[in-house]
Amino acid sequence: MPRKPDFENLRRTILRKGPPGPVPFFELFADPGMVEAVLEEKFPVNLHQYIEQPVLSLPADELPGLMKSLDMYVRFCIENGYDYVFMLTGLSLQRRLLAATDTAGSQNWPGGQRYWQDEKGGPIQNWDDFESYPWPKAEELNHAALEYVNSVVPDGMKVAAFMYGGVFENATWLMGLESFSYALADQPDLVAAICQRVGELATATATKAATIDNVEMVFLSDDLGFFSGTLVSPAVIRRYIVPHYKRIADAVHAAGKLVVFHSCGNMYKLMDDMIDNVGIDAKHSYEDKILPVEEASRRWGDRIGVLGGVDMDLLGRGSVEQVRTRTRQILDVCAARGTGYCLGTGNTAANYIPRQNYLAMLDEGRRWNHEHFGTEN
Amino acid sequence: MDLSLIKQRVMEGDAKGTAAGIRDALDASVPPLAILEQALIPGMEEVGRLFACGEYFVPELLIAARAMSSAVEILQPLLSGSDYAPAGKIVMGTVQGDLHDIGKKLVAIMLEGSGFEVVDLGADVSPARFIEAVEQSGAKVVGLSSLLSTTLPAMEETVRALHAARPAGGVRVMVGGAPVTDEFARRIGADGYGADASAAVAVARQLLGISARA
Repeated sequence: MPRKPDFENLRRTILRKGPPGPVPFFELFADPGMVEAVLEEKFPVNLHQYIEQPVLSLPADELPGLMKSLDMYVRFCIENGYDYVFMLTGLSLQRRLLAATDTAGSQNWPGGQRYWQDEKGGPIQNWDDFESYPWPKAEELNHAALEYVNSVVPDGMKVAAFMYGGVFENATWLMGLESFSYALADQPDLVAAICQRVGELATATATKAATIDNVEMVFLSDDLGFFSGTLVSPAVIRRYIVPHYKRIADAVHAAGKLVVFHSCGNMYKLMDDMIDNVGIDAKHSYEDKILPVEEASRRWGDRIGVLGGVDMDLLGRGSVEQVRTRTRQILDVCAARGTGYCLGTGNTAANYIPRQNYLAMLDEGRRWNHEHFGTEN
Repeated sequence: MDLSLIKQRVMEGDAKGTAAGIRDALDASVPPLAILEQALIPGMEEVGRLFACGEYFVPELLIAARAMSSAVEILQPLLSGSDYAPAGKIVMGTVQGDLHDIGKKLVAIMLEGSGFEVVDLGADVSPARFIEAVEQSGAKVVGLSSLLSTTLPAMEETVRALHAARPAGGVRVMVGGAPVTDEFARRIGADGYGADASAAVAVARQLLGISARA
């Protein structure tokens, strides 16, 4: 008998309420390549282009293929044991990407090209660029993918809204991280204006997403750190970015929905801000090299949900047995209290993770749940 | 003349103030080499220390390097013929297939700030290009950077190619980047691993047999 999705168990787990139960599965997103590999079926349209550069107006002749692709995402989430479908909002800001021939040799990345954010520059370098930039109007944003998935999810399953890039990410993408860094010293008013405009759009998007009935969770996703710290100082992030996080979280909570914060890198000096000021319900994204998820669970597991954490490098380059062993280690620590933890990767179900490793992580989670709760998840 | 003001301006990323301070020092007959060794390099070393201990971040490092660069532009013509010699020459680059530039750039900034001469090959650099740069420059150390797990095979291939090429005088390879660990570095035959930009400077010194500055 197929598993019945149970978002309420996920909600209880994240909020650390109710009796101990099976560990839910959790991802921020799955790359199209991983969805195709797991379902063993190709998308009927080039979904990569919509992920990398989602367009606001969708061509009519692609709509049937896009809807079938979204159906595949829903099926991927159901069949792999998730209680929600992760889906993109329509907020997308034009930026500058660079392409390089991919060297991963991964079976999940048939395109042969990998896109990278240009760190040196971007479309906005000065006030003239800012004024002439094609800023979208919040009221005209088209959240078609989210609305469509909202209409087709089965009973018990909900939707999580994922914005492509957070306030900090988009602000630095628009300028390029290097230019943004110089601008903090040379053009602080321009930095403030960009962050303000992006923050307003992100807040409007989250507010709108949270009104969609089956959207029960909004991802506040913004990579702030690298190995040893935040990319820019915590003071800069508190000044230009955190106030927007607070507005987003307040809007989502006002609608009775969950706010899950995803941020890569060592941003842990800001955790108290995120928990006490912003009011996030959970944090996702952990790296063994920076802070293993077990340690995050020890530090913050009494205050927020701690999600994912199976290291991306291990998933990408390790063996199936190594993935199983590490997954079991994490579950034995993080899931031991019976709530507050969901199993998943340290970042996303990325296309460079071999399919068998991703599936082994999930299978180990099912085994753990079966041993402890007599059910798979 | 007290050179500490120049050092302070480098640390603050004040390019104009640094340049003005250097002109004042030159007008006061302070030797260019003394300005470099007693103000600029100690200033950037302090920037590196502050970055390593989490008080400075990417922007502070970049604007300090910009100030240093404008200062070196003034001093460079005056240093020819002096006793100045860089601490060593290092070829740096991000491995093939990887377009992440800024991590490598931070390491290059720290190395230059510590007196090394850096040949920065940029990002998406093939093994053949690294070998060519080593042969042309005579560098004894190569630094490789990578951001994603996807490009670690290219890092391994580059280490292997550099060692196989056996350039005249030999070359040693140090590696770093988000997915790189000490264990991985040893497994692929790298000669050193820098966990962050500051550590990379220490590794470079170690590979070249140079003592840290007092």
